[in-house]
Amino acid sequence: MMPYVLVVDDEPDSRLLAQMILRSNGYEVAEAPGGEPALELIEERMPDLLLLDIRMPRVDGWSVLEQLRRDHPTDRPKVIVLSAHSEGKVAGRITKAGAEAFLTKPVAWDELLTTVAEVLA
Amino acid sequence: MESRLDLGSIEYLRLVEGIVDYAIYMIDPDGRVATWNAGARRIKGYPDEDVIGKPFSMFYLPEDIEAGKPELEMETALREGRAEEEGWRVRKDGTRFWANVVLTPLWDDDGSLRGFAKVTRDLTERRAAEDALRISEEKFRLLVESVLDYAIFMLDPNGVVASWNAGAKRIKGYSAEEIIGSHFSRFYPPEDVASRKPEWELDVATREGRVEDEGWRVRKDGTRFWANVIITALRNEHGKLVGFAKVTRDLTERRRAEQFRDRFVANAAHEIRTPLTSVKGFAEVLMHRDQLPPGGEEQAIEALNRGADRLSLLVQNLLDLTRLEQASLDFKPEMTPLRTMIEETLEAAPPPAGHEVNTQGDLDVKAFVDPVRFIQVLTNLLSNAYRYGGSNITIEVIATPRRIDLSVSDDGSGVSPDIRAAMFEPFVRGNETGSTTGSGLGLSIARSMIDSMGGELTYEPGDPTGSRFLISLPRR
Repeated sequence: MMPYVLVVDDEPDSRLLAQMILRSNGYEVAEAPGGEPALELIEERMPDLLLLDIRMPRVDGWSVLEQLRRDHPTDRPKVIVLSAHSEGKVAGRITKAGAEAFLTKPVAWDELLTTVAEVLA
Repeated sequence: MESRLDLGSIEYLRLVEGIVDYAIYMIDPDGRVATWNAGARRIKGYPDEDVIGKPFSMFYLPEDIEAGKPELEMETALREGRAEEEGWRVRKDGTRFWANVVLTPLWDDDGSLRGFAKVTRDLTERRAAEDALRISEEKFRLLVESVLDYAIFMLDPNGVVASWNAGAKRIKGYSAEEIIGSHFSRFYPPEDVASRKPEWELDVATREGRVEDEGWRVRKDGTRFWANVIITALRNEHGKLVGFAKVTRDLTERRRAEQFRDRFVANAAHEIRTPLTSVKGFAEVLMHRDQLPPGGEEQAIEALNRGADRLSLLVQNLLDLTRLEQASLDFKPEMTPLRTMIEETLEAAPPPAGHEVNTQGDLDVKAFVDPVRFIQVLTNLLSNAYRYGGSNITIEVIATPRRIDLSVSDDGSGVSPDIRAAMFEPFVRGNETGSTTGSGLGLSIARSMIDSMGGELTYEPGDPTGSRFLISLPRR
């Protein structure tokens, strides 16, 4: 069975992009347009991997990470954080927040697939 | 005889005779001119033959003669041994000169009055220079006092306010009477007073001649303003510190504008990056089109197109906003029926499925607006209602003799209170997720456009729920 990936992003086309790349390579993909629906979907079915945008209105990526650590200290999914910013500030913060990897938008085809495979390995 | 010869010696007479910078001459006890020297000829312009034997009052102004001034001077000299005076005198050609005059009585050995020695200096040039200086100082004082854009005032060496101009009153709020005599630390926030910043600034100015600072200052009403301050030490000709000149500019507006611009640029960059990222991402997807599932290629091309559309909308809106700010956007107002503009708007932006738009009120009234721009504003308000509002949308026109009010209201949840204050600012959006397809500039542009057409665009919460945007236009 292929891993199940949840793509969380408020930009519809950003979700579409990640979804197309992942589906083309056999992953099972679900989408959430924000932090709140993402947390609901996680409660329904635990994904293997979260592709999480940081800058979203209301519940942003940091809040999702925080809530995951609280609610799922042992069984939380792997997380790849997506950000439009490539600043080291964000890169340093993601490990502390409990994410496995960090990618800058736009995600490149090969880079996304390699990172996803590495994180899930 | 010997002693007389001393004073009357040929050498001495020649010496006096030859002096050109002073008019030196003798007057007999009756006030008649007895001798005349080169200086007298030069300064007063009379040759010897015109003055010898004539009363010395001929050098005075008519009004001084009338007032008995020449006689008075002689009396004073006799009484006090000397009379000195500065005043106007008249030359042969009728012109006046400012003179310093010393009149000394000359006594004979037997105590009888021989006459007077009179020494006159022409101080016209010095007086003119003094006048010029006085007038220029007066002009300068008036200039400084009337400057409105800068607070310009003086401090004594201890930092006590000694003068106050119109700009100081405007910027700081105190009148001259209220503040002169107070220590200037009153203008600083408490934390600066506690850290003795005012004293420190005077120390630096005293030591280095000048100190410049940018920081918060406090107005009379307690509000703060961002100030540029220059304090200059003032010293007299002996180098002694006599006080300080303080020039303060209120940079609050400039600082606000700078912060706004910085935020605007950062936001615009972010807004451009989002569709650009999308375009780049899908271009990359198309490079792997052989791996896409059926229909994937079309999906990617459509997404590319959306990204490009969004970029061009953003650029168009940024240009509109810039032109509105520079007031260079062309408006062609004409009397246009509101019904026409509302219908055209609904044609261009029809309600999506599940939404309904009702129009009511004085639709046939005409407004003096640029129809193209007005439709742009209406389209923005409607598309906001489609995107963020409820399913029932009402456009209502209420005309009074003075105003035309057009409202766009919906029965949704209204604009959340946390963004109400900032909703007309660039890049402030509603919080709905998945709805960030606009430029984030729509309401800023709409408000600026209505402003430019002489009206107002405001928001109020709907009754009982939802939102209500109101365009209020003056009626022609």
